[in-house]
Amino acid sequence: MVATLPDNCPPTDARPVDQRFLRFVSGTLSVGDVPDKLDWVLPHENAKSTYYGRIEDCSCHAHSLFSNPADIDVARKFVPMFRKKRVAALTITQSMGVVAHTPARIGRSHHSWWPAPADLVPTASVIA
Amino acid sequence: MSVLPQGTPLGNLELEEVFLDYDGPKLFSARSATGQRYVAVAVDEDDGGRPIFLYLPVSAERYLAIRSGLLSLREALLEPEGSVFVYGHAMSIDGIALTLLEAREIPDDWLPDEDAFLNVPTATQAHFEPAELSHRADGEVRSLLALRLDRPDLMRTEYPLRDLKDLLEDVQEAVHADSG
Repeated sequence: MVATLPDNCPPTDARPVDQRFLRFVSGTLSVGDVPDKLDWVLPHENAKSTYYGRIEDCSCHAHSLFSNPADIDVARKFVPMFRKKRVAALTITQSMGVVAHTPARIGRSHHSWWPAPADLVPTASVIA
Repeated sequence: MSVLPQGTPLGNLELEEVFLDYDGPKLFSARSATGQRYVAVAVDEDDGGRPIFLYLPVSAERYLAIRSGLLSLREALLEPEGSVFVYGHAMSIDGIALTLLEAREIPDDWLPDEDAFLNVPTATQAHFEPAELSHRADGEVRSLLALRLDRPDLMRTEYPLRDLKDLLEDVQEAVHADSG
C-alpha cells in the first residue's frame, strides 16, 4: 500500500532532475548486481528503520542518496555500519519523482529522493 | 514521538543534533529527560538487518571536544569518561536489546576511522558581549581593548596560546606607541 504524503511534501525545493547518484545497498550483493525492491523500501515503511511508521514526517517518504562519491568514503569513515554495505549507482530522471539537496553535517552531497510512484524501484547497478 | 529508545537504562531519549541522516539518523547526539547526553553511531546490523548503535555517554565538555574536532570519534569511544559503555537498537519492534560494553571490548570494525573528526564550528567559550566590556571598563576606570580573531581552520572559539604570542606583542607595542 502506498501511503499518502504529508501536507507540503515533498518540499518546494525538490525538483525533477536528470542526475546520477549513489546509494548504499545490501552488503550481500556483488559488483554488477541489480539491487531489488528490498533496497528501495522507504524509511517509513521499513521495519528495520529507525523511522518506521513515521508517515507524518516528509523526510521518511524519501530515499537517501549521495551525488559525490567522496561522501561514500566519508560516511564509511564515521559510520562503521556503512563499511559492510555495497554501493549502487543510478540515474534519476525527470519522470521518476523529485529530488532535493539535503546536505548533512558529514556528507554534504546528501540528497533526498521522493520517488513517483512511491514504490518505484529504479534501475541501479552495484559498482563497489 | 521520539525515534530513539524509550524506557531503557539510557533514559527516554530525544534527538539533539544529527550529523548524518541516511534513511534515518546514523550519527547523532541525543539527550535523556534527565539531561544525560549521548553520541550515537550505527556500527553494524543485526541478523534481521536492523542497525546496531553504540551510545557513548558524554559530559558537556567532552561533547564540545568531539563536535569541534578536538577529539576524534574513535578516541572518544576508546577513552570514554565513565566505566560504562552502552549499545543497543534504536527501535523497539521486537524489544530493545541493550548491553553494557567496556571500551576495550568494542570490536575494531565497530570503530570509526582514526581521522574521523567532526570539525563542526563550535562555541567552546562563553559568547563575548561588547557591552559587558564597556561596563567593566567603566567600573574599573581604565581602558580595555577587545580583539576579534578569526582563523578559518579553527572550529573552536579558543585560540592557541603559541599563536597569540606575536600578535599580543604587536598589540602591546601599538598601544604603547599610541599612548606615547
